[in-house]
Amino acid sequence: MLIDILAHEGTADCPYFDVDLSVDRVQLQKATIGILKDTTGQFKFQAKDNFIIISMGIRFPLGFEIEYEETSANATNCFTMFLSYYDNAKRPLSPATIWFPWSNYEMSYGRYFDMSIALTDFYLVSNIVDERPYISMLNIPVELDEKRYYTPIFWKVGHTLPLIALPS
Amino acid sequence: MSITYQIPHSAKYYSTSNTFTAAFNVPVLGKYSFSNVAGNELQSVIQMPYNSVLLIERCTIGGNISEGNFLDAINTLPQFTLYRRIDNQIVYPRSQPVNNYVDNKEIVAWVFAEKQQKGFAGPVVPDELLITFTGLLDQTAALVGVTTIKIFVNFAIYIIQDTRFYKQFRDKIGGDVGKQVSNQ
Repeated sequence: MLIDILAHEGTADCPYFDVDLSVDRVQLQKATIGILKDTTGQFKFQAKDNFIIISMGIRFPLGFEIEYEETSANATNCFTMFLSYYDNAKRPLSPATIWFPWSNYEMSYGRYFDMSIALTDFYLVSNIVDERPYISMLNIPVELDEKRYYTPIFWKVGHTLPLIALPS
Repeated sequence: MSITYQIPHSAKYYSTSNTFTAAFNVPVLGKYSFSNVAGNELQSVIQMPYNSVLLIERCTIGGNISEGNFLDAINTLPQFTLYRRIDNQIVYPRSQPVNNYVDNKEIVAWVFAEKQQKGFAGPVVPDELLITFTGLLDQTAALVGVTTIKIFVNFAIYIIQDTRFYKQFRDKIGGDVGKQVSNQ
């Protein structure tokens, strides 16, 4: 089995947040694109290559944390992420969303995706959904004010055929 | 249950082995196909000497994936067909399904060798036992990462080169018709 850790790479593909010490909390913002790539920048799966999600997680800068609400746990207390793929048209994988309560943690996932529905080469896209979490601004050093931090999502996948470059 | 045969003591025992491969995505996207793969068609099992009778007695089938994974993945039932090179005569009336791994399964067939290639222009070649393997497997979760599936088909074959036995087998009239003969 080929195992690749596919992660967001580059500012356009990462969710992010802007530090704002004038408020108590800020919201995590969706990535603009959200393509998942391997370490060499390759990200296209060959047509009909099936895969297994082995684990996943989200990297978060040191010192920042989700602001947990005092009410019972709900979606705003979690990173709610989705995974979808593109071939010629964007099609959601089902179930596409997952609630992920921790940052900087590799969570075992273990789900098999039969990609016989993909008609051509495809690639994976991940992002947070609209119910994005809040990030606490309490006890954040003033030096970090107004800085932007990126929080890449990674998915570790096992698959059969080597990844290929995206045709230009 | 087992069937008992009486064959000449001079019969020679051969153990043959044929390997059939199915590569993921080739030629069927998303599947492992044994069909329409050149290497899986008309593989040689064993050459048949002139005037010989073959007793194909047992077969053993296994593969490089576990039997459970093999069964889970079956899309089109894998099966093999045995031919004789000359005449393309099929040994078994139907193809033999491979719906499990087997160890020394009794699969009795008697085959006799023809003398040479028929036809005017054909070269003279000894007769030969050939095998073709077909079938289609899906890629299940357990098979993610497996690029090639191999299935091994082994036969236990006796080659009998005994003139009297051959004549009797073919029910031919020979010079000894009417004579009192003894097999002792």
